[in-house]
Amino acid sequence: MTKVAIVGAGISRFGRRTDANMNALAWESVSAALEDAGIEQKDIDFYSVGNVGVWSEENLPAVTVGEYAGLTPKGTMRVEAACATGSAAIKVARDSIASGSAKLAMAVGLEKMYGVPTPTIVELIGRAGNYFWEFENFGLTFPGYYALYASAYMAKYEAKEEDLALVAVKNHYYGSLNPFAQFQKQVSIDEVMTSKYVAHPLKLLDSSPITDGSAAVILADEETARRLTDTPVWIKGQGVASGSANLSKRSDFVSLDASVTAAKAAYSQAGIKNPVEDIDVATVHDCFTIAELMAYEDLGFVGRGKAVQLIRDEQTYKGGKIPVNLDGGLKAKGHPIGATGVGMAVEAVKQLRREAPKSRQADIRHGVALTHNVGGTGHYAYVTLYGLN
Amino acid sequence: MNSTPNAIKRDEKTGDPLFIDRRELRLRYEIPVKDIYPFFDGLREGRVLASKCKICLALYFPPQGSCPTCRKSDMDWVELGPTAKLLAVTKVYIKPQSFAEEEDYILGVGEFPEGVKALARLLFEGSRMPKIGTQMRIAVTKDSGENPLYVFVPTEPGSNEPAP
Ligand SMILES: [Zn+2]
Repeated sequence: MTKVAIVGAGISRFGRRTDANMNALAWESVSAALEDAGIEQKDIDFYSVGNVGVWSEENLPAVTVGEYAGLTPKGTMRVEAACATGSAAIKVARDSIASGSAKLAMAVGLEKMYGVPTPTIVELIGRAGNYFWEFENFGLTFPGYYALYASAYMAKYEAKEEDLALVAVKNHYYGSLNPFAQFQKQVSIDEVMTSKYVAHPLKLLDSSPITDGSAAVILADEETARRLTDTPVWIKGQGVASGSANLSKRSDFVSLDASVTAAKAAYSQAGIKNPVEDIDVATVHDCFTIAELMAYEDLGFVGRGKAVQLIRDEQTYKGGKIPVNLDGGLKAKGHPIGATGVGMAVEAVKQLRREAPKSRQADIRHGVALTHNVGGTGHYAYVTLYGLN
Repeated sequence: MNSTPNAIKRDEKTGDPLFIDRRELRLRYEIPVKDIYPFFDGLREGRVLASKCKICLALYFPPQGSCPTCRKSDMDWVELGPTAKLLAVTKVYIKPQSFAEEEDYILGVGEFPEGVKALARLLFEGSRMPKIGTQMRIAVTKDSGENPLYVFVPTEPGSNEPAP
């Protein structure tokens, strides 16, 4: 495959953004990415806009963002892969370069979730699976999906709610060091344990928040990338997979098969033999605390049932065997659904360029970063490896 | 619906000006069920039916009218259960808007001896969560709108988890 690199990255502040509409919110990251790449809008050949929408005002965000950001009349499309939408937008932009149809392409991730009341959001995200059989009839919610996995995982591996809480404690710690994060404050195990149940056994502080935010990356072919920057961040591999819409069609509830499949493909493309050895830093999809634990196993950081020990030993903190979510993760940085995957890419770029704040900058030895972006509950999975070489 | 002539209000937390949309969108879908109509016939009779491909004998639940393996639409209809094993369970506290009026409810995935699984409500007494591995029975009841709906119940009356 043609080599493709990220040559520019930008991100908005995540949170409840009553100060910016969809287009203005997108512009914050688009302008930062253009600035970072040192290019102008006219240089872009194609741009994708990852956005799930419905809870926000614009139905054709790709064109409204394009108009606001001065990208019109460049070719575009809106991309959807639930919570993995951002990574899907990157795939589309990367493929457009790999095919030779573009030399410079932008992937924008955007979500404005606070446009409607919370119960409406719960309603809409609850439909993110099989609408008729699991939502219409029974009222399964999005936390409910992951809670089902948590119940089975905890029963099989004798994990405790306190173990799940350790993930929240870590990610809030790193959120407290990230000025772009929605929650820039630490939480204690006690605070997590005494927060209210959302869907048993998951509590409010096991859950990522509702978030507004945007992120943008600019991708280039090899020749263009080397002309624009001394520190291109190459996409070394990207594995994609899907899972059944109905949770009742899953083989078990302790692992996301789509993550496993996507990781295998990405590792094979990037030549990763031992992920813990070969990868310097990872951002994984911690929409709920249980999701981060399953990710440790699905991505091969540890064997089955060993994720709890990894977090208990603090091996996913900076300086540990494999630092995970040093930006605060979805849990504390926030989870603007369509922007999350692009936000992960921005974090990978900053980490690899050693531009993260010192307190949360990973030790970059091999020059390899991983992002793991799940849509729904393993309905989609995108695992991407970024590298300096 | 905001009836004030001025559609701009201040956000309670941030004080930022917000334009309150004057257009409201309501959605109610019409979903064709012709290919799985025997399922609804069964439900009315108190039976939960899966579709079974007449050629390769693959069992489908939720039922579907076509077999993607054989690329044919020739289905038998077979009754599931009555017993199923609980594989995963949750209790939903924060509910979607359209379920807001309901009491907190328990949902679980049950696996039938035939190998297929179903997600459904668990109608279990007591406030303790049913344990993974619990044997359950599938049954047909009525939802709040008097429509037949399948649920999981304890295998025998009174055999469920003791209250705490
Ligand atoms: Zn068949």
